[in-house]
Amino acid sequence: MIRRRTVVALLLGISLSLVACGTSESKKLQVAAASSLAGAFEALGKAYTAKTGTEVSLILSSSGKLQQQIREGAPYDVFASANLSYLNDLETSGDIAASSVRIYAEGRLALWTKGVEAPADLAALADKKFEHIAIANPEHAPYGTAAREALRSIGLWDSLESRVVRGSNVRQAMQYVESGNAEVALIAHSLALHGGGSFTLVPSAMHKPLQQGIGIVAKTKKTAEAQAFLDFLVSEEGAKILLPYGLSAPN
Amino acid sequence: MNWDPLWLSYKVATIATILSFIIGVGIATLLSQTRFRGRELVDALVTVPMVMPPTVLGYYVLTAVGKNSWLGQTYESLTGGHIAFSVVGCVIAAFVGSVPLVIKSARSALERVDPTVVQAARTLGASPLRAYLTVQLPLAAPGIAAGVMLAFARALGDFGVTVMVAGSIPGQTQTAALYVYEQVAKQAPAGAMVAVLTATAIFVLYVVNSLGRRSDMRYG
Repeated sequence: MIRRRTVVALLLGISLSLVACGTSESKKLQVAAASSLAGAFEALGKAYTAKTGTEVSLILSSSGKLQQQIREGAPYDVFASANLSYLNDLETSGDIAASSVRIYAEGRLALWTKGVEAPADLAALADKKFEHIAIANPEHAPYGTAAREALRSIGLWDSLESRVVRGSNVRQAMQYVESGNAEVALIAHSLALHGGGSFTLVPSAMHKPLQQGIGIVAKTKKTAEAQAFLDFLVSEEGAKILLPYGLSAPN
Repeated sequence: MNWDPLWLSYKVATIATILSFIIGVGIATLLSQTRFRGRELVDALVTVPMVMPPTVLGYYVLTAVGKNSWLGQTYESLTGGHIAFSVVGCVIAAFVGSVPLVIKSARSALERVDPTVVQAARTLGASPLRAYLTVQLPLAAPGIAAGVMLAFARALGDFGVTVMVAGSIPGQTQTAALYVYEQVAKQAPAGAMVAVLTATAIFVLYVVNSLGRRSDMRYG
């Protein structure tokens, strides 16, 4: 009996100490960012850590999914959405600190292929040789929504819909092409620039603007650090890092 | 609420369960009736999908049946279609996670049958195959049935593998689990479908428990 108790105590001790190890990581700044920002924010985070010593850990997902998580109290400090409206909604509901939201760039949609030349324009997708067109889920991922709007604007959505496969975020849409299962993807310019392969920009007039915004999560205990990160992002230094990802301030 | 994803899920889970039943009992028979080197390794290999992260499994499946894979190309030359982003892909996704449940339950049910009963059939002149089919397999049936029910529940609820290979096309490959994920992400109601999925799972587990009691009674 005593031996069993010792084992239970030991196991409890081990699990508690593991939990304790986990909490020591909370010195990091938790940045929830749209999947389209993967490369850009990794570069930004690295530069920021080098400059300030504050570690940045990225949580990448579709903006809609992240918005939902923040609404449910996810312990993030900063939220970078691929679409301003998700941030505005959270600001209205009090989940994003009032007037902390900044717009720092306008996102662009790109037609992206791997191994072959990207089609010249969206209309080319009508060709049946594009058996599967990968996009992010338009219900909760801004680049997916923009892709649907763009295809609708030229009256192609209804005829293409059955060939459109939806990734749960824009990175997964890319993976469908990388694994050779889809011929073409409609993704963020920021990812296409660094994804290898070939891409064509989709005219921004074909969809609602993809305003890239960032805000501070209202519940964070690290408001000052979060504010410093935002300041860094909109600084000249930050802009220089984001430029190679096609993310520049709208003029 | 759009109920199409639920019907698709029931359809996919039913086909996947039938496949799991046939292939699972086949493999369980091999593992329980024959002795060969590496038998336990085979058991481990066919069981590992049960404990692997579903996304890792999904990656394997996508690589194995994708357009550039040997399987994918064979399938294309036979049918002209693709496995990825099709109902067939959904079925395979559901099958991979559920077949180990049938193999595990069927193997243990077959091995739990009292060997003296099988020997009695043999001394009365039954061939090994006949003794297996008419004595051992029927005695193991409740245990196998419980495994098949669990496989159905698992197939119905698969998310991780399906999300990698199905492409979530509404009306085509968007299963109930993918639909619920999408609904939650876009902050739309999902409660009704969640309730039906939960009720199905509880019902299945209830039946599994009843089958377990019956099989205990059989083994005495």
